[in-house]
Amino acid sequence: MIIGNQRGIMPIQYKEPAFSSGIYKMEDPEYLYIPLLPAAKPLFEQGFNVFKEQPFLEDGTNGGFFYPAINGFFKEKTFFNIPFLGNIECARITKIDSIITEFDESEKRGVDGIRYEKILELARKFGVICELDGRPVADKLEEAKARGVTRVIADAIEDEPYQSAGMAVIRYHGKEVAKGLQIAEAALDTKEKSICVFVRDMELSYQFPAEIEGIPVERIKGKYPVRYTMQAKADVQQPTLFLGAGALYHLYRAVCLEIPHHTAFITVSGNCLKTPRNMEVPIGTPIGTVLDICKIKHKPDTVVVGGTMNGVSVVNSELPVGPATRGIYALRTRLKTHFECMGCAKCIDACPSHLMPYYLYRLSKAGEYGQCREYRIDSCIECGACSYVCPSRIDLVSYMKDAKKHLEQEKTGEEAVSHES
Amino acid sequence: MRAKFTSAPFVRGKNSVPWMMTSMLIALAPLIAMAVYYYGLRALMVTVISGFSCYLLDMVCMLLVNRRVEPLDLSGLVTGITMAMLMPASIPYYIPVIGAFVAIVVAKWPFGGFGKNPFNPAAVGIAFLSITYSKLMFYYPIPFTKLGLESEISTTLVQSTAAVLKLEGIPNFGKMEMILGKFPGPMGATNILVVATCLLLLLALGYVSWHIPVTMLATMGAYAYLFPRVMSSRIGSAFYELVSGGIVFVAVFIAGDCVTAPKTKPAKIIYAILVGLVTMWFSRYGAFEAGACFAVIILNSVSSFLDRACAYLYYHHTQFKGHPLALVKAYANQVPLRMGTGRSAQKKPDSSEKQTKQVDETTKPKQEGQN
Repeated sequence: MIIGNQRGIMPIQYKEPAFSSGIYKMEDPEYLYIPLLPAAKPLFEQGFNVFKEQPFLEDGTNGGFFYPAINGFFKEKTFFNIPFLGNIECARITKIDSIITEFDESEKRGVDGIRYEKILELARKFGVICELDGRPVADKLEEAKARGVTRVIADAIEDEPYQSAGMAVIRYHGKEVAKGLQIAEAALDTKEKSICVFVRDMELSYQFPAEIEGIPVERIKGKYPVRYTMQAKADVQQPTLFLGAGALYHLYRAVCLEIPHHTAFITVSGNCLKTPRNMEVPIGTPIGTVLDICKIKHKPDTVVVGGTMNGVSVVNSELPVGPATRGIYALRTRLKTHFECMGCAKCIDACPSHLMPYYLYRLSKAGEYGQCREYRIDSCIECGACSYVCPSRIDLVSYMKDAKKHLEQEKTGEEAVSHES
Repeated sequence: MRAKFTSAPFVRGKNSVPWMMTSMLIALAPLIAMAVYYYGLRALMVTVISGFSCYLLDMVCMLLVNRRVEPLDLSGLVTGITMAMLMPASIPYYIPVIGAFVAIVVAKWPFGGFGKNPFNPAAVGIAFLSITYSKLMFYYPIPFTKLGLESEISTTLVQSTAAVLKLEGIPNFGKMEMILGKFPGPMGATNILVVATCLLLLLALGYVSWHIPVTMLATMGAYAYLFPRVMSSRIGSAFYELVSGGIVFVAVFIAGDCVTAPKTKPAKIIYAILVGLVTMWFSRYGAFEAGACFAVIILNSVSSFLDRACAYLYYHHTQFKGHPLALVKAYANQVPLRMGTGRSAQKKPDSSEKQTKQVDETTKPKQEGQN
């Protein structure tokens, strides 16, 4: 399927050789970190052993649980500045070699005939989290049910360069994903379901099949940001729920095999690695440990977590991998020269929201934030397409973010003044 | 200067400013070659002097204003070569140097330099030379005449076909000769076939959009067809108007310059129509036979206005269905006078004004030019 009349960019994807190298199942690390979020209550105190089959955290807001990915000793607590979560205290779990847990991988129940409440209970009990937004799958199913969703889509629309974890899960664990999608369909009582993958045939030699376990596979072609456009268009046609491929895999394992959500599927790639690959990584593993497996060949300028277009640059190699990490990239990003804006207007042609980054950049730089609102800066989705095409290599997204932050602060200040009065 | 990406996105496209400038130079190279073919090495000398004068002046101004030099900034070289292509090959060598001074030191750097000039430097340079040295600028050698390399030469110079049209005559050249540029005129702007090929090259590389050149030439062709100067044939009139005076060259390389032209597509089309009309009026009623550069300079002053008007119409059109005059009036009340000067927007007539607080600017993004 081609997303027609779309604005955006067509970046070089660099998905090979990671996509065709299979999914490397990482062994348990020597230690890992589990963030102790404010809403989560630890079920074990410091100084105790923790186990894979026993929940470590209980979510006070929705009754969900979180399991440690290794059998280990809760040694100490330490603080990390985790992207999007802030300064969070984390529990350091050190592996105990002598204790081994083997999960029974036989199906306890089939995918048919499971009630909606049972699916939610099992998804919460085994801590299944969606990698698209880091939210529990049970919460997303509940909200979708309330919204009256009529279609469920397995989202493997990896439209960012280097990123291919979701597509690799579809390729190598397609049956489990299909079964997870059937469970989600049964929970929401929808009639339509499909698996969406992003393909650019010129770069990938692999052809996705037309269907997996009877579920149609839609091959999406289009300009980045395809996922954003796809989600916006799909919702207009009919209420749709998008769930990540990894989330559906773990949902199947939780509901049918009763195995907790321990691992995250991430792409470890970049132009500084010898063996870029997709990996199944225990949640909480330090980023440095993961990068060492892929063998760094050049010292990277930047290590990016998340996505190459929307991610965050990190400097601490001890930061833990989370359920919504999706990718770790070691990149050389050095420029040769830096120019002023030349007014080529490639950013205006690339913007998927029909904005004018050329003018927004100049207004933001001059401090004219009120005029930025006139030019609809609130519609900016911070996709990075404008920065990508800029020949002067200007960080346009950072100027958009700055203007939006100032407008938000002004609005908060005005609301505080109106409350006081 | 080296810089690293510290915020998303962390991958970038292959476009870069030096490559865009190099592409323009590659597009101009065939025109230089044709000029040398018709007029000999003198054409190359004029081009080199003009190009390097602009480049050196650009570097000097950069050093004085920014206190650093960027040798890969080839915009000055592109400006110089563009100006040279609109001059006769017989021009004395000091004329391109004067033109370079006006283009770079007067039209470009007082406004901030690269990317900040509101007026096209090449157009300003050519306009200045046209006014000041009209006899040298508007008399051309005949193609294949041997020209010496000394600064001042004595050879037969004739007026161009644009001057013939202005006197309501019919150029004494066949259509194929006109297309191939075998007639007296600006040394790099007469070979329409090569200019059209350069346009296709720039379109393929994605560094020029078709809106301005095509619309401008279509407007001028339509005007010449409707109000012909060559009475024998409307199509002939349109043909001679378009191939005379270096108009196609100006449409491709000067009017479509990304720095000074509008940025949005509707604004580009309006701008191109206006440039075409003003060019035709200058060519017919003005003092000089070729008025394209003057038209570009005038319309450069409204490029930003056209962009903001089109953006306002696009963002607010749902509020004014069926009332275009109301929309224009609302736009006149809403849009601020100048952009980026620190002045806030004009007051909206229906909303209450609230005092905005000064916001802490310590978190502003890094400015360009800083490590």
